[in-house]
Amino acid sequence: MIGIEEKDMIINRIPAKTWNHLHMNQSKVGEVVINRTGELNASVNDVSLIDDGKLNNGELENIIGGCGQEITEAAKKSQTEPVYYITDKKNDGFVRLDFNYGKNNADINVVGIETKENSSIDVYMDFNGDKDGEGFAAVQTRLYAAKDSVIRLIQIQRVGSETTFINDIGGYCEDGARIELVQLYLSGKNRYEGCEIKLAGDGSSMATEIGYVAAGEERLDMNYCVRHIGKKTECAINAAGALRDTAFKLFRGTIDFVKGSAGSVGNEKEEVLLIDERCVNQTIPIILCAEEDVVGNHGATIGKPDEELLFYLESRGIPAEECYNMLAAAKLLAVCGKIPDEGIRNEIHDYIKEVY
Amino acid sequence: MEEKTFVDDINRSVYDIKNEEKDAYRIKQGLTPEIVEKISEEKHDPAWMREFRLKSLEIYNKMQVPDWGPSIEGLNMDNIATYVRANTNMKGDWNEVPEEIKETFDRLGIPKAERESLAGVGAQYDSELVYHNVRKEVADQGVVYTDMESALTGEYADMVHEHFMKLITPQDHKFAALHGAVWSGGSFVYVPKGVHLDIPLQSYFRLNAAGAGQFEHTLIIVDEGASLHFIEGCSAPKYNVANLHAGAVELFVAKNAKLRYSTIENWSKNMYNLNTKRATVAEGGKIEWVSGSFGSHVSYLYPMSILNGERSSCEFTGITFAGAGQNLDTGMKVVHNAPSTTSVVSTKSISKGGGISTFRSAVTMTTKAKKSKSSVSCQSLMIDDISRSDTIPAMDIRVNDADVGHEATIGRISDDAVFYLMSRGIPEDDARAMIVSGFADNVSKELPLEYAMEMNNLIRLEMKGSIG
Repeated sequence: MIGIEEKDMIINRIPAKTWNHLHMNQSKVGEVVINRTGELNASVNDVSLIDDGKLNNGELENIIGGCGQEITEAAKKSQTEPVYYITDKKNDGFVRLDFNYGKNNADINVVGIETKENSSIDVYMDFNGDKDGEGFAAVQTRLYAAKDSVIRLIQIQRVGSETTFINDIGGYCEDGARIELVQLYLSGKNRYEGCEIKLAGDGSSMATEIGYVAAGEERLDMNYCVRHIGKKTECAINAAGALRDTAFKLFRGTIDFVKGSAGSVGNEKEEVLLIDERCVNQTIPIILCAEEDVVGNHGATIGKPDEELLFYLESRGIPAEECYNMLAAAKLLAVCGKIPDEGIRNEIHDYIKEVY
Repeated sequence: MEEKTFVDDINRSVYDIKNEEKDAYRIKQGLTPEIVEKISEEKHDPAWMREFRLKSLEIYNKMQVPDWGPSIEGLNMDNIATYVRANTNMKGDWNEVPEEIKETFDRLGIPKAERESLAGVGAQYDSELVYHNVRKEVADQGVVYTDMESALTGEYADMVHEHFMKLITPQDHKFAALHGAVWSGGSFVYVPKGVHLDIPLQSYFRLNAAGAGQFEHTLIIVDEGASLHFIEGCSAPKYNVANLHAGAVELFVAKNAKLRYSTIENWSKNMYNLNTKRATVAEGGKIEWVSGSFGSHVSYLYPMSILNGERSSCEFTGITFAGAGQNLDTGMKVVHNAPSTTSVVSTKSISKGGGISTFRSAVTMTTKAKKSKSSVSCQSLMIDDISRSDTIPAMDIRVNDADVGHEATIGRISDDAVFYLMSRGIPEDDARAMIVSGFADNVSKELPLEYAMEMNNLIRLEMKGSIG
């Protein structure tokens, strides 16, 4: 392991720039400090894994994630040893990866997940740690779904309140393959989420459900991009969340119909609840289209809680503050309901109810 | 997925007829302090304007070209003449305008439109106005409609000085600075308190000279409780060298006033259209933009509304049609900077024949914009698979007590709709043109009839080139 220290690393670039004065084209991470591989507990529950070290003949290392090349270079430079989960079976069980962060962090992990033809896997990643944990942590996840296979990746992010966290996902789908993501972003001082999925094969698809809450002075900075390359590919990006206090959130979502992606469909939707007066919401949903025979839609709804709903709740004796917490929790619980495993779903459900 | 047949666009004959540049004054190509001083001298600028131009040039030289839009590498300022003046001064009677120039405007239908449906007309040919007139009954109401040069030194000189490039400053971007340095022509309009103009004023900008730039400045002040519809038209014949348009439009809408600003932009396809338009709206005021972009090789065009007064509002209705060889980057910006402001944006874009259309927008709500609402709708139509259509909308919301909605769709002409029309005996290309005209209907219905017809003709002209 080689220590890395970098200042002002640029990540989360959008594929098509806009006015620089809006400060949405990319983000700058003040300080990236890496000096160890993060502590990771893996439990494999009824999943058949192949233990052959490299993924897809090393191709996996060449997949770039939504955060961009810089964080990939930093991971390579640190010589962090990747861990791989490869399967050639349809699995009913799941792999659970618990990332345990401490008080002072400078961690990085690189994870590769591959499904061979006609196989499937569910992987849970729980980024957890000391409640007051600080410092820097990053996880890079690379996904490769071979023909007619399915990867379901569920991420729960509840890192320490003073932690800067980078979550970088890159994925590639062959013909008929599918990647599904369920992501809950619950805490962390500065959170950078990047995800780029290439739907390279005909009939491949991806879907992501994102739920988030940002409060206090937290910053949540997201960059999602789906490249439709194959014919008749489909994507659905759904994000819903709530902002409190003086929190800042930036959501970038790009649907890119590359020439040749005829018959493809891309949908993107964002709902943002602005609870407190001084929170800041930035949204930039992009559609890039070089193909005629496609359908792309995006929609965004941004606003305060519905006054009639608040009135109803308050008339039932629920204090205003509690109403706001309920509304924020509702956004998260709706996404939590998409977690496939009942046990983990209940665990996260209880956690959300406890915190909010 | 289906086989396409493709043929070239047909001749845009009305717009493409060019006049010889005989006896015209043409400043040497390039952009230097000497050239800027010479323009100032030719235009008999007041001293403050000469200084303003030189300061703008300094700013221009320090600023970078945008790194986010279409390439403007083909535009070399060393090859652009920034000031070309036909051998005539401004007339108030079409019969006094030199025959060749008058014929050009006749072909474009300007004198006829003036007779039938306009309250006043300004016609600019290259860098200067050649005709300006306003109906007596309109002038009698105190409406001022004149060329910018006369306004600079006339009765309203102080008002012009107070407002000129205060809304669009040379620091805004490189081509606003360029405009500040070399601007020429354009119109000044002042509508006094409470005056409602029932019929529109129109300025038409014709750039005839090859390798030249047009930098007209439009300054409109609509005073308290007044209303105005202003129409801007523009065209140019096509040359093999780059032409440049970097105009500026500054609109001041006072308390409870209303301004509709309509544009049919039909520059030739060698034109770099780097235009800036901006409005500030006071309490209860309203700005309405109706914008049709059909011409230009490259366009950067984003009319901006700054809603500074409580309950002020903005409506933007736009269409962009990008054909072969065109990269049109258009859209809008709105800043909600006061309580209970509203903006409604509806745009359509069409790409065909390898054209690139980008819709770019920014909706900003500051902390002052409590109880404000914004709705943005953007629809894009791809006619073939060699074109591009991108949508890049941004929202920056800094107040919680607001409602912001955004929706965008992108798609193709429905085969079912084409089949239906063909089964009723309509040829395929006509069927497609009808569907595209229908797609553009929300813009054309916002225009006066004759301009709606011009827009529909332009769509038909563009669509003739493609057989789906």
